[in-house]
Amino acid sequence: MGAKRFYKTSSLHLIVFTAVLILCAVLFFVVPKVNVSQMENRKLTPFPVYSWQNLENGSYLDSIDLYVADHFPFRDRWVDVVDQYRNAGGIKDGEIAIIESENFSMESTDTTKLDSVDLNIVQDSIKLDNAKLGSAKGLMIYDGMGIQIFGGSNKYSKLFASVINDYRSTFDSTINIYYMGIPAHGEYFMPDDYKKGNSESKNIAFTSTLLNAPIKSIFISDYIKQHRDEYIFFNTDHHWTDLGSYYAYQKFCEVAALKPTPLENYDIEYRGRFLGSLYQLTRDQRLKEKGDSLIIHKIRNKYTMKVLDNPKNFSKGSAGQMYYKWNNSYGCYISGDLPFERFDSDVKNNRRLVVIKNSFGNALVPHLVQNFETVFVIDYRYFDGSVYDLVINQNVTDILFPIPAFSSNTVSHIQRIKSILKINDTKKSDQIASPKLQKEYPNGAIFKVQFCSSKEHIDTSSYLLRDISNYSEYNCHKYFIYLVGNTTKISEAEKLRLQMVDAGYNDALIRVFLNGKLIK
Amino acid sequence: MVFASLTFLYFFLPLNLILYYCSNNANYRNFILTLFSFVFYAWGEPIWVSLLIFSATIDFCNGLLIEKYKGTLWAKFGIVFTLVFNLGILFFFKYSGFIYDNVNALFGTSFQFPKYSLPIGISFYTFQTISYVVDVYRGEVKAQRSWLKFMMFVSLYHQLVAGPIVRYSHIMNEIDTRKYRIRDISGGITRFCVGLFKKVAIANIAAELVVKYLDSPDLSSLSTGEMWFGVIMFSIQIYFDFSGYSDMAIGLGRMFGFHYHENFNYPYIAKTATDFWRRWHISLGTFFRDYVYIPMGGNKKNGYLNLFIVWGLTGLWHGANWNFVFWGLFFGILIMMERLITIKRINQVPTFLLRIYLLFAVVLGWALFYFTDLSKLLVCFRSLFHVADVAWWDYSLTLTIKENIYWMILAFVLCIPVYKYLVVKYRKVLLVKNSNTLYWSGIAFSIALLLISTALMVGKSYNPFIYYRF
Repeated sequence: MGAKRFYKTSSLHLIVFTAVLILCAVLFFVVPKVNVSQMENRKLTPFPVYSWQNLENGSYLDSIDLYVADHFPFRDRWVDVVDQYRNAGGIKDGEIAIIESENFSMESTDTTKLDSVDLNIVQDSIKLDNAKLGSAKGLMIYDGMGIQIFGGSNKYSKLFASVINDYRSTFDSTINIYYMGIPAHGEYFMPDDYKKGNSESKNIAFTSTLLNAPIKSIFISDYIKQHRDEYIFFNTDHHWTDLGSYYAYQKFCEVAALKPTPLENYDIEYRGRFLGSLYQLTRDQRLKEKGDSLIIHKIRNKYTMKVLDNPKNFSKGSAGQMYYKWNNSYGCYISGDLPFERFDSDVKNNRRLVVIKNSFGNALVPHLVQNFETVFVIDYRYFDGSVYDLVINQNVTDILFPIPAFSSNTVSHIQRIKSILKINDTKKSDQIASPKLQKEYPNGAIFKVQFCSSKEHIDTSSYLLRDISNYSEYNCHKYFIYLVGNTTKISEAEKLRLQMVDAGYNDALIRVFLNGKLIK
Repeated sequence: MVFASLTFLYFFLPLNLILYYCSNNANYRNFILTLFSFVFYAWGEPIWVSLLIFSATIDFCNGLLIEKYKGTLWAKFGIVFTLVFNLGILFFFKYSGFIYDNVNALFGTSFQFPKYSLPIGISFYTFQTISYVVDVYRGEVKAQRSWLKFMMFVSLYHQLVAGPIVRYSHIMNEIDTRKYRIRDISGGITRFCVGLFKKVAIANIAAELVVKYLDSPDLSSLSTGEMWFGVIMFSIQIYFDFSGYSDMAIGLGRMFGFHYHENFNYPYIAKTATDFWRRWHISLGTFFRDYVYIPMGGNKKNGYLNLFIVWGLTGLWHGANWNFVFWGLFFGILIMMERLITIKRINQVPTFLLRIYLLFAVVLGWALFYFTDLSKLLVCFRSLFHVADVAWWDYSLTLTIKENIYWMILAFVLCIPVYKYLVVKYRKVLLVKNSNTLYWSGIAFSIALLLISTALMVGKSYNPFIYYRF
């Protein structure tokens, strides 16, 4: 009997095994497929397009494997099973955990190589999209909150500061430039026993010491720390709440000589619970249990918001939502990470602000709209216009860099911030530039004003030169440029330039000579 | 294609099983199996499948030639042809870059070598066909007369890409006539599921931990504890990866009526290096023993020289880099020392001390194996022995260990023959008791392993994006 029984169960084994395989295969074709995974915020792999080249290099068949995995029936359920298996693999300390995954530190730059980093490499904005959390070394889960572990160093600070100093030296000193270094969760919530190495606020303070004097640093960490017991940071998301950003806004107003709106003058909207980015990355049970709520502090001012599509056109765009209706997470603020936006408020104080930010700036921007006539918002990760053009053409009075320490310690972000300044983007704007500070130039520099240029020599009797006496001609590469004035002070040269502009030479610009040679 | 993929598991395998078993005709089955093997191979290597067919055809002809002209110069020609050809393509694809690099480094030249991707499984199938032709030459097996059957032997996808190195003599009867027994198929399924679980649920997770520590961009800042942990995790990864793959191969073989030899026998419980190599990748060890070491004279003539040649080659077989050679020679030295001390004296040492010695040696060996970059290897060893200025321990390691402790216990326990013991117990009880529950639990066991592995494979594609963009 035993042998017969054994035969029967063995057959049964075979039947069950093949049935499971075939069932999944059939379900794969039967269950309707989705193109986008809500859970992961990404497009699922589409079925590959056939070409001989794809087939030959193996990518066609590899993509089929990815397609099968991405569209496997009941994929979300299977992912839940993985969570359970991984959770059962060890003791999850209710209080604390360190998670390291490639998702957290997409960009790891060897700190020893930092001395030779070329900041002029323009980062592709798409590549940057994956840079995610920048210099995070890992994630700690403490008391139901995800805390990124800071991995920055003073070497990065030097790089970052040099870029902000570039901005400073580019613009006239009447334009205020502010640097607001933003420390994330770790600064306020990481248990003392686990704090090691460089802290974010120390890194920010060090960065500030490297900035040239007219740059105003806004130190927010001590002030925010006083409000540590309030809901200033999300538990499951790597961002601050708009309440956290409100305290940063108060600090900003103090430095920028503005009057902050009292907290009670906001309208509160409760949008319900959500699970943020850090939960999506870790799918950690403790984060899930704690969760987050979206509580929006809405400003009462009248304003218009425009999403600018063309980085060269500073006023044309489509209407946007300050608190995006369809997103009940951090993504609702100023409709998420858009490259370029403009807000015009009912305030009349002749102050116009440019905010150069990443996603951390999103919650801060609404507060700022209350104190400026116009606020331009640039997400440096995706913007591909010229900050220089914007500042010059729109009479901007203030520039704010609200940058998390995680980002200011990430080379690709630093490179990106540098690359969007784009002084030479258009010739015209270059020519009506405000003068730079004289100390930028070497001793012995002579300033002259160029009022016209030509490929061919222009005769004295020509109409172009009719009113000008005492001009000089200079042969520069293939061009002849015509100059007036000869002074060692840039301020005098600027006066002369303005006279020339008034005289109808709209394109007049200051040229710098050293030992008779044109240097700029 | 690889076994641990959803495409293989849910499309390729069931289709193969159904088509294979839907007819009784032996030729049809051989054809189906060969066809599926070509598709399996071509999935990753659409071009190199032609090389596989070409080289196998040459060996097939040489086998026939040698048998026909036995004892004559033609037979000698046949064997030399096969050796030169197979070792030639192996050298060309696997070692030419390495040789160019070394020549350039040695003589300061800058020869450019053509870059080819290494055809998958080339190290395995060239050895398989060499063993076949040598066996025919020695008269140990009869040459295969059917091209289809020979192609099936070489290309059998069960073992084509990652072993075991199946010798023709082991399965020659089954190539011609296979007996199908339902309990064999059932046992094969269980074996396959166990192998899949070992690969997906243990090796892959160990691999994540290995990457976290040993691939850390700042290797020199790792504490001694972290470095040991990383290397131990690599020992876990490589054992479960490789033995899991062999389990799946053996299991698949049984599903289709083949019986391959065992390739692993709990290597981490070995007491000496000699013992370890009788338990680790057995098909490779015996290959080198039978086709290199003994023909060179074994331990009778130039014993130690032969030993080092064999171990140098064994190392080199694993990869074209110096660290693999060092790794092979490291075992050569251990085995030589063990011979000098003699087995008799070694046996006087308490078993647990021997096991500690062996594990220590093997884990260090894996560090050698892991770092192809010799400067990183140096950093690793300095940290392992705490001669560098590094910390002993890092708090995050405690957390990592805690978070994976049950999984680690499972991995360690599966390194010792507990599973084997339980299976024997289970069978014994089954013989005595005719219990329904027991029968069903056997089925449930393999299905559970299959489902967990599936979940982990699906989960691998889980890849969330943090920003709100597509």
